[in-house]
Amino acid sequence: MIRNNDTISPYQLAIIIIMTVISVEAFSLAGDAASALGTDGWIAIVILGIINIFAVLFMIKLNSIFPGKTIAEYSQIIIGTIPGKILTSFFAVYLIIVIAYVTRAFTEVIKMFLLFRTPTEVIMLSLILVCTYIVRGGIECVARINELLFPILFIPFLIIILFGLPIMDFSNLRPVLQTPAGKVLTSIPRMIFSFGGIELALYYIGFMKEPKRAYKPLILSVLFLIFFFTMIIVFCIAAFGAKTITKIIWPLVSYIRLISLPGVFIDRLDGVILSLWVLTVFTTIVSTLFIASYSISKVAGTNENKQFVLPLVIIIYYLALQPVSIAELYEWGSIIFPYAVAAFIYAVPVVLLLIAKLRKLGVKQNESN
Amino acid sequence: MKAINCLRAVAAMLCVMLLAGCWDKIEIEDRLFVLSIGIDSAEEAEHQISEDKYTLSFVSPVVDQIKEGPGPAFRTYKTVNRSVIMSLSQLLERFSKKQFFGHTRNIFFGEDIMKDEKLLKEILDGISRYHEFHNSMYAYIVPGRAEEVFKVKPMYDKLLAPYIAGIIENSDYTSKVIKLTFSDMIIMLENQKGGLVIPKLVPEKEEVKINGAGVLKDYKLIGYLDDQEAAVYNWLTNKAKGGTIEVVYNDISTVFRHYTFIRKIEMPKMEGGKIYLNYNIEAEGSIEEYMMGKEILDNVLLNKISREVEKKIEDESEKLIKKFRQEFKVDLIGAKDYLSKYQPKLYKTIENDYEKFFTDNIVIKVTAKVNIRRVGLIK
Amino acid sequence: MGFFSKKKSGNVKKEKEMGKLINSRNLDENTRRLKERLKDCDDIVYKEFRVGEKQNLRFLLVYIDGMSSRDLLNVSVLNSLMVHAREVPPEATEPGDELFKLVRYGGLPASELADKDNLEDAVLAILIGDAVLFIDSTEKCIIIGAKGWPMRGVSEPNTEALIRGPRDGFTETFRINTALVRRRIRDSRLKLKQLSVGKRSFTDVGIMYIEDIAEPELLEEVFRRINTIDIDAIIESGYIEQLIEDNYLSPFPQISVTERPDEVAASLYEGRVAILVDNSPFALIVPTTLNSLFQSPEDYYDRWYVASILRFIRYMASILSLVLPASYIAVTSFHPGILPAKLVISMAAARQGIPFPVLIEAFIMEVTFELLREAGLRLPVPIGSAIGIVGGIVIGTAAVDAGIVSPIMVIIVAITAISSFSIPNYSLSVGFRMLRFSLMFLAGILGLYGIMLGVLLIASHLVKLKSFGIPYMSPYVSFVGSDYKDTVVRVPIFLMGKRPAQIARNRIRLKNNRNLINRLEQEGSDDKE
Repeated sequence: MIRNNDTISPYQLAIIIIMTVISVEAFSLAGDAASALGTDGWIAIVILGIINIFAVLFMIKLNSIFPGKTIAEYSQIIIGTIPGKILTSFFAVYLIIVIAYVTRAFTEVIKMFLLFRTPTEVIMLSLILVCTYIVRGGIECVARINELLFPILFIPFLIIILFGLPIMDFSNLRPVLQTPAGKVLTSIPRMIFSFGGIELALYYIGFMKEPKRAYKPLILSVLFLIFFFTMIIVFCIAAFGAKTITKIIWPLVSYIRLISLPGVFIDRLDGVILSLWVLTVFTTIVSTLFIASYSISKVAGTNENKQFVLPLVIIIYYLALQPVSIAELYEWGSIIFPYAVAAFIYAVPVVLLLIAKLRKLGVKQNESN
Repeated sequence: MKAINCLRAVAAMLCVMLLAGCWDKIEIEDRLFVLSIGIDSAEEAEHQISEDKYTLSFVSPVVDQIKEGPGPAFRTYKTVNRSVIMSLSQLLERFSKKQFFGHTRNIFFGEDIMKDEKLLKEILDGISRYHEFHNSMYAYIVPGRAEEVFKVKPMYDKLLAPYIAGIIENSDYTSKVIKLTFSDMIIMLENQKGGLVIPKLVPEKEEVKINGAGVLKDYKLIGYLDDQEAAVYNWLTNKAKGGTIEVVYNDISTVFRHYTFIRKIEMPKMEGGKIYLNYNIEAEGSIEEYMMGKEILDNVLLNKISREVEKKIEDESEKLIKKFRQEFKVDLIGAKDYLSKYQPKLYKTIENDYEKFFTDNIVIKVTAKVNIRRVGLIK
Repeated sequence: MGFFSKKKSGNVKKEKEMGKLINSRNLDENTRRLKERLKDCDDIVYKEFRVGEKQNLRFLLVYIDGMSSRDLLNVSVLNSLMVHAREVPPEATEPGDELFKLVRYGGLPASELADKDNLEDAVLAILIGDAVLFIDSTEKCIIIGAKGWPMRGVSEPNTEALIRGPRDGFTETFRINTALVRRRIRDSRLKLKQLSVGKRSFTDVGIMYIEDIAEPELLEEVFRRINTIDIDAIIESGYIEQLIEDNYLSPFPQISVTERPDEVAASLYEGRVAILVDNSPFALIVPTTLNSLFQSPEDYYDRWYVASILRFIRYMASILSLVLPASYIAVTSFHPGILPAKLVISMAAARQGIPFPVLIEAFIMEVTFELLREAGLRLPVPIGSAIGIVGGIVIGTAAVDAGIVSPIMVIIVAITAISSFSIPNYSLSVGFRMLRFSLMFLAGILGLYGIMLGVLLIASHLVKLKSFGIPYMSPYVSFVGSDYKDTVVRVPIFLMGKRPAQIARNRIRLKNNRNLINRLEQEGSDDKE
């Protein structure tokens, strides 16, 4: 009854992954997709999603060798304590950069549409500190807040986005499937960042009681992400056409700005959606910040991760203030993230799994230890 | 206890923010809601310095007068400056209130702006970039100067902008009104490489009239459509919904009102380097007016009238297609759209020199099918 | 009361292990000691009387005037000992243990008797309203359950009136309250554990639960927390609530309070634990979730869609009462683009000439409203309604006419007030009221973004909060399909086959009888054919 404080349920795992992956880049996703593949932009997401299902399968496979352990713990078993710690620190650094990036990118959106004169520092700091409050509650609270916010975010969002149906012209999606296969494949690396966040499953599966039960929720969450991203891309392209959309920085926001609900209290919805979007950014930062502090605590060899959270906030705040302009911010993003995300989603699990298999590590040895 | 400390930290920070804060707060009564904007190129006489390029006219409601008595409740004012955004900020030097453009419903372009590619492109960029403008405002071209619109005193409406926007929203009931939002305008200019059909607004003393449309090619005004041609343009681009068509049958002028109007394009063949396109038009509606004493409820008669309406649709359409092909030499009637979407491989081969290909090698045939479903209350 | 007194004596004995004062065999000595112990307590009656042929058997009856039933004492003690004993001369008339046994087991026609040999126990028994009978030349005394003080009858609970449902409510008397609950649960597995809390008040605290539904860990936790209480007196159940709740900083009540025995019974059937406190008509129910605070007993008595609509309205009302003034501030001062042009223009027209910013205006009106509410609450009912008229109508209209507040602000405050009254739980609505003010300030600084941050902070707090080990936000944060049947939508009763997974064991509550009913109908129509 007084439940164990350190486990999450399969359903919570699925929601954490969904809420972590969906964040501020959903605003610009449709533009990226359209500039890569034109009207076929959604194909890249579907293919990437299918690849990610396999990546997720590898992650679960790897985790089920070491049930109840996260990558920060079993990487030290697989490749030795020091290399494992180095890998974990890389992970932590990457996650901190992700948080800084997301915070800054979202702050730019907020400053563009909602608060023009409010200092960047205030917007960022207030957001990160609110996140800190929940991160200090531990894994259980992180899982629960994700679960609570999931319907609060998606039900209104899906309703609002469907109000745009009258302004959509689905013939804008034509021609379909005219892009040569080679071009599709080469465009995929450009889109990899859109699924960034799935790599956190390497940690979160470790918080489940039985990793075997992670298959269904994780595959479902990747399918949900494919559906969600495809929907955003399709709707934005249908509303603007593939050509115009490449010129817009945040096509999703522009799309929502076109929707009007005649005869209702609310006329324009961009303010509403942007304030709803605080939720996704919040959950992304929360899940990531928790794992970042957890990784650091594992590198430092402590059991508690609470004490690392506030120092991390200072680092994140400092990092987030570094890019001078939004152009520089996006340039940073396009330099760092495709490689980092590819490394952590695909390379790390596969390599670790191979080494673990070769060294014949696993549950049995664990138990004998 | 740590959680409590954290809470305290957040609370303390919020207090600090409270003391320093309210950066973006502008009380609603301190805002001046700009409901329409007109843009002209500045006349020599208006120049304050030689670089001035634009004259911007604005209209805002006088909120105190909204509820009181009859008569208009708005004021107009204008600025002259080098760029759109500078004009907007110049207003802050002249008014105690802060202009707010989130509710701008209409944007009027003067004819001279539309004739100058550079001026037009600068304006469009400035407006699409500015966050306060909503892309769903309606765009118009005004023959002569746009500021003339702001001198209109509408007969029934207290405000000018809802009055004009209301006319545009009648486009569901009359096909002679073209509806164009600013975002559609940007999308169309982007897709057609500078081609655009934009509703023409003619200001008069107590009213305005949406009458025909201006046609742009390469960001330059190249001519106007009259109101009948505007209706035909709506037919051909599948934008028409309701509307009336008048035909003369047996010397009796008959009015057909359509409730639905659907245009479909197909490409039956491609011969000798020529592309043949069929525009299939299907309209459905009722007869609204015939002749007292004559019965119209007769299948044969109705069929004949349908043929007549079909013929009128086909003739009018072909006239407009000819005008676009030969006079304007620009494809704004959906053929390019169709080819690029449904015949992408073919379109790739002709994409580079499409305008020439359109005038020479695309043959468009219009086939109309009219169904008269009802005849009104009397036989 | 016998059981009760024994329990108590056990506790006291433990405390008095060192200085235990055995009664003297001498009645005079006992009287002296008692009078010394209960010095200056002028409401204590010492009734000394003699029985027997030679009048050599001395008795002393001690009780507090007003707390013991005189009728009972007259009939079952004085009458039986003085009159009947005279008619039937006792065989063993010698004072001493034999006499004691005779009186204890044969002489007193009262239903609750207990014997003690300890002065402290006797004093305590006197203080809680029992009568104590001392007999000469034995150290034992007899405690007669003769509690009987003027008490309020069972009446309809004022704070939780229902349209449909039982009309009985708890009273200030502990025993009546436990009886009201037990009448609804005729199950030997309904347990009532009685504790005595308060070093001076010795207040009865009863913990009720159903043995095979309530989780043992929860019970253990409840007992553990109550046993930690070390206080002089428990005046009302609110003391217990505040002493055992999880988070004293939270604006949300973590223990629900009810006056309705039917609600207590329903909660017990869900696996919750009820804490009844003497002298308080309010029972405490733990664990409490936010969802359960939005439930009213009526939800289960009405048909399911009525209940679902009412639930939905309550949730909407709570959200409105939380964010409406804040949203108004955010929209008017920060993002007027959200509203349609016509509405914005009429709002701007309404605010022409108002000297204060919207934030201050809203603050003035909200504070005024809180004052009115509090004033109306403290006054007698007839004057209270006058306050409503003066405050609501006169001040509202005058303030608008004077140009201090805009009419729209008055509407907003009124809607907020009505919404906050639709929340069924009083302390929850007070919590929302507090949070509303902080959200208003956040909205005044950061607009909609500030509101979102505030809402996230509240959500984070709610998610962290637990009530006796149960997440406060369950079932919204712990996905169990069957638990969602009793949230915003209350499904038809026959579908609510299981008890809440987070709280109860032995979860099957009922079997779906719908198909049985339909089959009978089917068979009936077949028969006709």
